[in-house]
Amino acid sequence: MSAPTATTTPPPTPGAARRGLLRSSRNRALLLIGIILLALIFLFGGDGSVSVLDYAMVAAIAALGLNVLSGYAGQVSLGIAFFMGVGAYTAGWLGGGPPLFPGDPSGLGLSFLIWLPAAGIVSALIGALIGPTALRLKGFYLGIVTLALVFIGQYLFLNLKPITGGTQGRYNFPAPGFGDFSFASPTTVLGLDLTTNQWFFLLLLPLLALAAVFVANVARTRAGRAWQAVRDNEVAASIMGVNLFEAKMGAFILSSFLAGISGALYASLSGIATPGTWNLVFSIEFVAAILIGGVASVWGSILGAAFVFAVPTALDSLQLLPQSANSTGLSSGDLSAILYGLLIIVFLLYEPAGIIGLIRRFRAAIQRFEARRKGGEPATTASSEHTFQLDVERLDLAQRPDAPQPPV
Amino acid sequence: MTTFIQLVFSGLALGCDYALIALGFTIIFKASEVINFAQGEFLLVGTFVVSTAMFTWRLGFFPALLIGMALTALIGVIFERVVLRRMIGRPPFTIIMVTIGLDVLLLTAVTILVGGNTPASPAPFDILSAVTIGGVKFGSNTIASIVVTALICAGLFAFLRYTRYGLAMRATAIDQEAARAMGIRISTVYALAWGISGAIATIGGVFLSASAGNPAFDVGLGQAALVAFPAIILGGLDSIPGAVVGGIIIGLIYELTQGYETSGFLGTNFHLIAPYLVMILVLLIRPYGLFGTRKVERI
Amino acid sequence: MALHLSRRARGYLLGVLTVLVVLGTFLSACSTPGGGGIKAGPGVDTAKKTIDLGVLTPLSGPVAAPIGIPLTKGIETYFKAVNDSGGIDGYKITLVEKDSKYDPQTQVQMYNQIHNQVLMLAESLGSPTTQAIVSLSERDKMLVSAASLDSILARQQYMILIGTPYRLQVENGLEYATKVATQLGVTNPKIGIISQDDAYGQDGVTGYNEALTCYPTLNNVAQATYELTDTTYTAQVTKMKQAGAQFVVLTAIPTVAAGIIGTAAQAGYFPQWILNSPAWANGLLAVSPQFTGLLEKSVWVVAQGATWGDRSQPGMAEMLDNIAKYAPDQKPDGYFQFGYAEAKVTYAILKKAIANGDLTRDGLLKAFNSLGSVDLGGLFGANAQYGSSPNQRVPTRDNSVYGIDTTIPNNFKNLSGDFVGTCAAKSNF
Repeated sequence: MSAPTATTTPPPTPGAARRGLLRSSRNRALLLIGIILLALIFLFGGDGSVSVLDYAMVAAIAALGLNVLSGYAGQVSLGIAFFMGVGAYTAGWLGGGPPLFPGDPSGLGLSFLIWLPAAGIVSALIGALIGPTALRLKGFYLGIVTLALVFIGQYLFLNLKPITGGTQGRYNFPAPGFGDFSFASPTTVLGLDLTTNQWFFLLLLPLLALAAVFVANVARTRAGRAWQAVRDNEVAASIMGVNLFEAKMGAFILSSFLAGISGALYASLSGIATPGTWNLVFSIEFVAAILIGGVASVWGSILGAAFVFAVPTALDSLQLLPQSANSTGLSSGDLSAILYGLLIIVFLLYEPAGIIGLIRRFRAAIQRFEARRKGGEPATTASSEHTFQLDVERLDLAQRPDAPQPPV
Repeated sequence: MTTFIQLVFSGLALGCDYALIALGFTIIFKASEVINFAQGEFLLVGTFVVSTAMFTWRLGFFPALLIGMALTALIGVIFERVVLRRMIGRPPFTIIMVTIGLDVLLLTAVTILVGGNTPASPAPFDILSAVTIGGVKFGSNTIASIVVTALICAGLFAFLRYTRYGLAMRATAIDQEAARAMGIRISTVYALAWGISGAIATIGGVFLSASAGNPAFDVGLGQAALVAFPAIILGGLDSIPGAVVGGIIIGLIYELTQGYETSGFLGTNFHLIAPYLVMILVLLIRPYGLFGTRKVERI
Repeated sequence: MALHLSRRARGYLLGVLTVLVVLGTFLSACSTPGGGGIKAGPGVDTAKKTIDLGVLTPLSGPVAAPIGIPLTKGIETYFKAVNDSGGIDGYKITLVEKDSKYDPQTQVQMYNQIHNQVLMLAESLGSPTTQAIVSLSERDKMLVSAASLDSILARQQYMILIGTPYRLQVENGLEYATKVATQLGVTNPKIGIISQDDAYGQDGVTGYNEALTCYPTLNNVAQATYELTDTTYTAQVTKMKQAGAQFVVLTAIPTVAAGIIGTAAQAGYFPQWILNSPAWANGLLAVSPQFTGLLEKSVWVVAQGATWGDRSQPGMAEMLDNIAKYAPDQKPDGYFQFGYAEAKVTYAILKKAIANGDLTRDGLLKAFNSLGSVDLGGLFGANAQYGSSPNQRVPTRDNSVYGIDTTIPNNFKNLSGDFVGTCAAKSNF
């Protein structure tokens, strides 16, 4: 698959991801611009914008998890909302304090360093339990079973009142904190007086970066290649010696782990979760995110999550459409829903690799244009930048003779 | 005892509605091997159009119904032509996602059109009218939904068995290549499948909202169609009689569990997941369902 | 394409331009604090003399048309009138409205978006949704005018409520039921309740249970709940029917109440339905003539407020005049009236705060605690009383039980007259 390009790349080293990211000066410039933008929003954007970015970053972690399972390993899953819920309630139970309301469940009050990883681990364990049965199925059947999982999950969440608070929901979620310092009521530290949302931002950015680097690295190891082999052709993969069960289970467990962490952070950020939070539409939003951002791509997960979770609010603040009791018709929430429904279809039709695919095509087009201007030299230097990325266009080469050929 | 009869009756009626929805899925699947996740929203769109036609434009029930059926059939055909045609050969995940994209679009479109209003349920009879037989009250609309389902199933059977187009559809379902070789226009067959499916969805949606005695419906109606998935898996994905039988069984399970669950030990809302538990059982024990064709590969 | 910049330079230029554009957007969005004199909190522009108030209400979904939209219109109409007559001591009010979809999660997200832009919330509709932001409002010291009658909320420091709580509504309703039962010669009326499975429903159930202790003749035979996601109500109706409940309390929302009543009718079951005020909406009368007949025969709504059109009440007269000017299409609607009355309390708080020279969040809290009573012009029972601490706030305890009569402007026929039931009078919360 990536065989032709493999001969031009040196074997991956532990620092490979970083090398890929910072290799060219243009990438460094883009990264710098990104950091400056984020810093500006952080400092001057107002608490609302920081809050939106926080949600987007939490969503990106779950999107990474979903991409591992569906993007790299090709296992259809609509069940990510369930695993996020599991993570959230684990965190609530382990880390929460006394009840905030009559009927609100209490928590054990354990520290952040316990409840966050525990959320991921418990989710992963449940994934390990369900995996063997679920992963026997393929395609549509797996999709339906994961859909059923969401509903069964909601039923369980509704009835496990001591942990989830039933319909009323749970208000008692822990905020991250170290020792005496808690994000929920932050004090001045080192002369810095930041809001809760800003502290979350400072926490989520490195967590997201960690998750992203981890996934990017795993994708380049044998496990990652095994997943992609399973996705592309199971029979061929097993012939090549890939243990199908292990590969699928590995992806499922990692995916559930990330979903659990994301769910815990989501609940912590919102401060409230009802069983209705972890619904099918929520799952679909993540699937849309990876499709729009780019399947099997780390940056794709992040961009996609930012799109689905941050753009609606950004549109809202631009106030293109008024929202009041007197207005009929479109609200910006509707606008963004239409937008991403349309985009899913458009992207799947024309650019299955999502925004990342578009960016790559755009870059390739620019390079071709440059090369032609300079006198028709083939753009060989550009190609080495693509070895790090997977060529999703190859997926259906067998059946679509007109599929675009990957850049050499 | 009357409670049991009442529950069986409403379970039967609900089952008929699910059968109609399941039929919609199965027809498309048999013709083009695609599971249309947007079927639920076809239901919603159809019901909404019928409701608007009946209450805002003040047409009678039947003209309104025909308009709704025509519109959903049209949406189905257009979607198939414009989008699905270009996705032949793509992995199933992609195709499922495209139909989910359509689902989101349709749902949002209807939500916007509904706005803050509460749309009324369109129905052939007044929602309260009922017939009393032997001391048990049977809602007129509920009876109507059972009768209509039976008619549609009979009509479909006749269509597939005795008409040229029906024959073409069956041939395409068995072997596309051979059918094409025999001169059957596959594009017509696809269009027909999506069109019929859409029209049936409207009928299913209308009776789903009317037969429960509910004067109004909301945009969550489409989610009810998701329960048809267990129905088609139970019946067998590619079997039309399977869809009907599966739908009725699931409907009965749903109503009976809902009726008896107030005794508490099953917890709240068990009836919502009972069909899915049945489905998982079926997938584990007999994956091709009651009437589906056995395949050599393990799904 | 005359410039021949290297790729790197082009990249940097693009980056700088992007940064400038983004920076510009943000700076223009930031509000510029104005002149001195009065102390100003978030949402207050002393230079332009405007005050921004937040509104979190369902603008879409099943609760929007019957309740959310008319209630919000009531608030909007009131402030339009205020603004047109010079504002509150020169300050004009702007409403920042967000759609909560009656979902606690969405409410929290919307709150997080606007909480730094507004001085207080002029409306937060719904019990479960408002409960979701109680701790947030405490953190932000933000006053919230709650469009909810949940008795728990009434005791929260930052919540402004008007009207008799749901709990007391149920108690008053059941007292009326005992009276009617006695008149009909029924000594031990069998009663039941179907409630929403959340904070709102819970408040109704609490009132129901209290009423059982207050009125020993009541015979509790069945209780059931429903989820907002339910589409059929066969189970709950069957339970009531099997137990033979003669009076059934509905702590529900309009679409659900309609579904329950319709399902029961189809099953041949016709109890006397006692509805909490949010379970009713005039839209229920548009379903079918037969359904309307059913409603007229078997539905009571426990509510309060001046009869629509009764110009002997100065508040009603003023409201009708403003409707004629600013919302001429408005049909008689109890929720509009409620929103309008609520806005009056908000007005009173802001006015006092301005008089104190303190339009910060703390200033508003002080103003609220020292309000005493607010004259609602008879719109909503007696004057609203607010003390200096949550425990001193005495929301009204009175209700009227209304029957449905389509010949009357707001379809409400007052059956019982305004009264405070013995149970409601001594209820402790």
